[in-house]
This record gives sequence, C-alpha cells and structure tokens, in this order.
Amino acid sequence: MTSLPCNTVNVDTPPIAVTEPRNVISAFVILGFFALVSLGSFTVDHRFIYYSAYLWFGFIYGMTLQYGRFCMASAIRDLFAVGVPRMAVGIMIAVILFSLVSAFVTVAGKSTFHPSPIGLYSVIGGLIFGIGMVYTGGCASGSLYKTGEGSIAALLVVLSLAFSQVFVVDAGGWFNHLVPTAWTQATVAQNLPGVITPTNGWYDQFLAGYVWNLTAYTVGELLGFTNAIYAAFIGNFLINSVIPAALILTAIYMHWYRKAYLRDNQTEYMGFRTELAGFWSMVTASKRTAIAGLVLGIAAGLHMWVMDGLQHRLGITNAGDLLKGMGFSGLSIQDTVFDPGYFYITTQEAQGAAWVVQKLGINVTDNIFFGLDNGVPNPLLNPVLWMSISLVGGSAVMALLNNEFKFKMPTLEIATWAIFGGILMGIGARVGLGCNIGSFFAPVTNGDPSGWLFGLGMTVGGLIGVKFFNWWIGRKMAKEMAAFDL
Amino acid sequence: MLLSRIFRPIGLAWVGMRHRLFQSDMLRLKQVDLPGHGTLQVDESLNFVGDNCLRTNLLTKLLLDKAVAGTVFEISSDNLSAVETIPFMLPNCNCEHLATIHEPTYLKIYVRKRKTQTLPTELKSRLHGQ
Repeated sequence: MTSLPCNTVNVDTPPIAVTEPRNVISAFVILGFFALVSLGSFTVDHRFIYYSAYLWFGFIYGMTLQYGRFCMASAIRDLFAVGVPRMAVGIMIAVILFSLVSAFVTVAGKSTFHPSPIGLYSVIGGLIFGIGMVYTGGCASGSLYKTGEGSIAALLVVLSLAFSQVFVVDAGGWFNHLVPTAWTQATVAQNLPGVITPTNGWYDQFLAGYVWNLTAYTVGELLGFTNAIYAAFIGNFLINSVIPAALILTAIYMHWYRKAYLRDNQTEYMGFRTELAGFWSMVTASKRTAIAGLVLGIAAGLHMWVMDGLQHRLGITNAGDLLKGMGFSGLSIQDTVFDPGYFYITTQEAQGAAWVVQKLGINVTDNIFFGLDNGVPNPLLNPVLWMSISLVGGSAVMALLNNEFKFKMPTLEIATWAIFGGILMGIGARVGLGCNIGSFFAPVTNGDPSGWLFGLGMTVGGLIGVKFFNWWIGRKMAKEMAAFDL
Repeated sequence: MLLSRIFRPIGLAWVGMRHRLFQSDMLRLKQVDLPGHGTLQVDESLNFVGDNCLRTNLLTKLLLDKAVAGTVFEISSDNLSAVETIPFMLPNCNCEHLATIHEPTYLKIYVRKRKTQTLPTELKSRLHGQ
C-alpha cells in the first residue's frame, strides 16, 4: 500500500510543495541577473532606465502569468473541450480591471495606447491565430511563460512564431498575386520611399493598400464624448469593456457553470439570489486565476502610465530617439523602433528573428513592417524584447519558488504541433496586427472595439482547433489499435 | 461531428484496453492512503506525463464521462495547466476530487466517480425552462 500523507492539496489550495533550497538559489540568481542588468545599464547611460521599465514590468507579467497559469489558449480550449470556464473567467476579470486602470490613465493624459483600424482583417487574423494556439497548447504570452517553466515545446512555439512573421512580412514574388489590384494601386498612391519596395510584398500592400485606409477609433471617440472623463469611463470602460465582459461571463455561467452549481448546491432555490450566488461562485472558483487577473490588470494599466512618464522625462516619443542619441543602429528609415509603451508580444520576437536573418545575409528591411516602422535593432538593444526576456525570467522565478520548474523535452509529435501551430500564430499575428495581447487584451481594455473582433476570430479559431484535435486524437487511437491488431 | 462519433468510442475502448493490457497487473492492485478518505484502491491509472494539456484534458474527460460509479482514478501529469484544470472539470463529469499529490517530477490527481445525482424537480424544470 502506498501512503501519501504529505503534499496533499485540494482544488482551492495551489499544489505547492516545500521549496527546495537549490530552487530558491536559482530564483535569486535570475532575479540578481536582471537587477544587475538594470543597474549596470543605468550606470552606462541613465537613459537605459526606459529599458529597465520594460524589463521589470515584463518580470511582473511573467510571475503573474505563471502563478495564474494565465493563457488564452487554455481559456478557449478548456471551455470548448472540457467545459471548464476557470481561465475564461480569469481573463474577463483581468479585462475589467485593466480597463478600469486604463480609464484613469487615459483621463490623466498618460496613456500610450493607439487604437487599431476597424476591419475584417482582425477577425481573419484572430481566426488563424486561434487555430494555431490550440495546436501549440499556448497563446503568445502563454508560450513565453511556459518557456520560463522549462518547456522546450513552448520555446519552439516562440521561435516559430518569431521566424514565421519575418517570412510573412517580407514575402514578395508569387505572394504579390494574393492581393487585389485595388490594394496595389492604393499602395502606389501612398508615395512611400522606394527603398522599402512597397509594391513588392503582399504584406506591404495589405498594410498600405488596405489597413491604412480603414478608420481607427475608440468607443469614447465614436460616441462623440467631448469630456475626457465620460469618454474614458463611459465609452471605453463601461461600454467597450465591462458590458461585453459581463455578457460573456453571463453566457459562460448559463451554459457551462449553472447546471453543475445547482446540482451540487441543492439548497432552497431563491431565484435571482441563488443565481447571483452561483455567478459569484464561478468568479471566485479559482482564486489563483482571479488573483492573477487582478494583478495583471493593474500592472498592465500602470505600465502605460510609467512608460508615458519616462517618455516625457527623457524628452522622447519613441525608443528610437534613445538608440539614435546613444549612437546605435538598427532603426527604421523614420529613426523609430518598435515601442508600444504597454504590454505587447510578437513584434519584438519578430524583430529578434529578423536580426538573425539579417546576420545570415538576407535583407528583411525592404518592407513597411521592419523598414518603415519597427526597425531591426540588435536584440540586446531592443527595449520591448527586454520585456519578453524578463517575462520568461519572471515566470522561471515563480516556477522555481513553487517547485514547478522542469526542463521538458517534447516528443516528436508535440514538437511538430508546436512548430506548425507557431507558424499559424505568426501568420495570424501579422494579419491581425498583433496577438492575444496586442490585438485583444490591450485594445479591449482601452476602448478599441477592434480587440473584440480579434477576440471573436480567436474564439472561433480555437473552437475549430479543438474540434480538429478531438478528431485527431480519435484517429490516432484508432491507428494505434490497428497496429496492435486488436 | 460524424467522424468524432465514430472514433470516440473506438478511442475509449483502446485507452481502456491499453491500460488493462500493459499496466493493469500493477495498477489494479494499487492502494493509496489519502488524508480524509482513508485507504482506497485505485481502479484505473492514467499516465499523461509528457503530454500536452489539451490531450490530457480531453482524454481524462472522455474516460471520466464513461466511468462506472465508484471508480477511483489516479491521473498522472506533469502539465501544470492540465493539473489545475482537471479538478474543475470534475463536477460536469459527476466526479469528486479526492486529492492532488506532488511527486518529484509530476503530480497525481485522485478522482472518484460519483453515483448519478438527480436534480430536484423544481431545479430540473428551471434548467430546462419548463
């Protein structure tokens, strides 16, 4: 008989064992490394504090995402595949809180957010991204934090996501036939610099010939609020975030939670009071996810405030000003680099991949994405990449402290899914102008309705991915059974 | 949908048979002492160590849905996301979570299939909008 008296947990208690001393040491080594980078770079040039701000917010994101297992792939997949709403609920909590903090930041005039154009591309991009993330088992942020837990499969996702974006934005030749003539004509009319060869590259024509002609607005602007407080709190916060999030939570409760709740709590049914108790029970079912949603929402809002404050303090509008001032290269032809000023993933990874491709002798700056807008700086000097790297580090620290860090080599099958899904995520991210963070989480919390369009596509894509995976597992089992001649 | 209807039962049958064929001698005799539950015999042991979360969750749900009341499962996984999701899927599978145990490199979740619970008539009518 096996006796298992210790380390036993239940649903409400996180399964944390006693932290091993070597894990604590490793966690402090990682923390010390980032502290050293932060202090060392500041000593070299005080303007690197802008980089450190990205770094430490990335670190907080990493710790939070790992603590709450925060993953949008998990949210959609668990809901449709096994009927568990825990993660979807956590994400809606984060949406509401990030939106509230964003409203304060916007009213204070410290927001760094710019809305994306409204168009069908968001739905299509989200759809491709959603299918891909179910195959990989993690969204863009989820794959980063899982890399910090030691998952090599997640690292493969990040790498394939990064390199596939480089291919997407630089593909010309045959791919030019994919775009309508109207887009090509509209691109020519933009009179873009010849060095980026805008009519040779489907993505250039997609951006200059289609996306740039769409209108971008927040709900506050759309409703015509002239008062900044009304625009931020009624338009952006209440109408674009709280009401849709509350409707989604209600739909989740009715469809996935209510039945089991009423069955397991067979007390006297008191109408709305019982329903409200059930709803609250769903929201608080996973304290871990709810707490992560709360911290993530507040941190993401504060991040914008801090970055805007630093931009004013340093007298810059873009990190490209810093790189130029310090004499570094890798800027776009507008002397800019990618610098959103808030939580963002995918573009900085694409820049890192582009830098590697450039080092192999292939020019990838003859396009709008890298050449005109984002640049291809050295990864060590890419401020937003500092955030991604520290996100992995923050996740590793949290995993180590909870004895959850483990190097996991994937099987060939899982590695194949990771690479294939990562490629789809890369394509989806570029078509949708971002990932689950940059095109969903940040927009919906800042009054930009395009985020919900991306979210819709991502949900439908996730559903398709789950259906396919269900079929795939059944097929594989049937094959295994046939091989054993059973 | 059609393919799913064809392959699901085949898949379930295979998982069940595979465990009986290759792991049953050791596992079927296994007993564990879980705090609050005393000594229990593990009827089915599912090993998902190394698997991704979707596969772990999907297969676990399929097996729990089809299990006979009283069956005790031991589910092994090193996927943290799956380990935390499984306890939340149990109410919908009419199962109860007994415990989650840390092993050095993975976790074990103990689950028991409950007897079918019937809803009071009032709740039934409300759920079905009658």
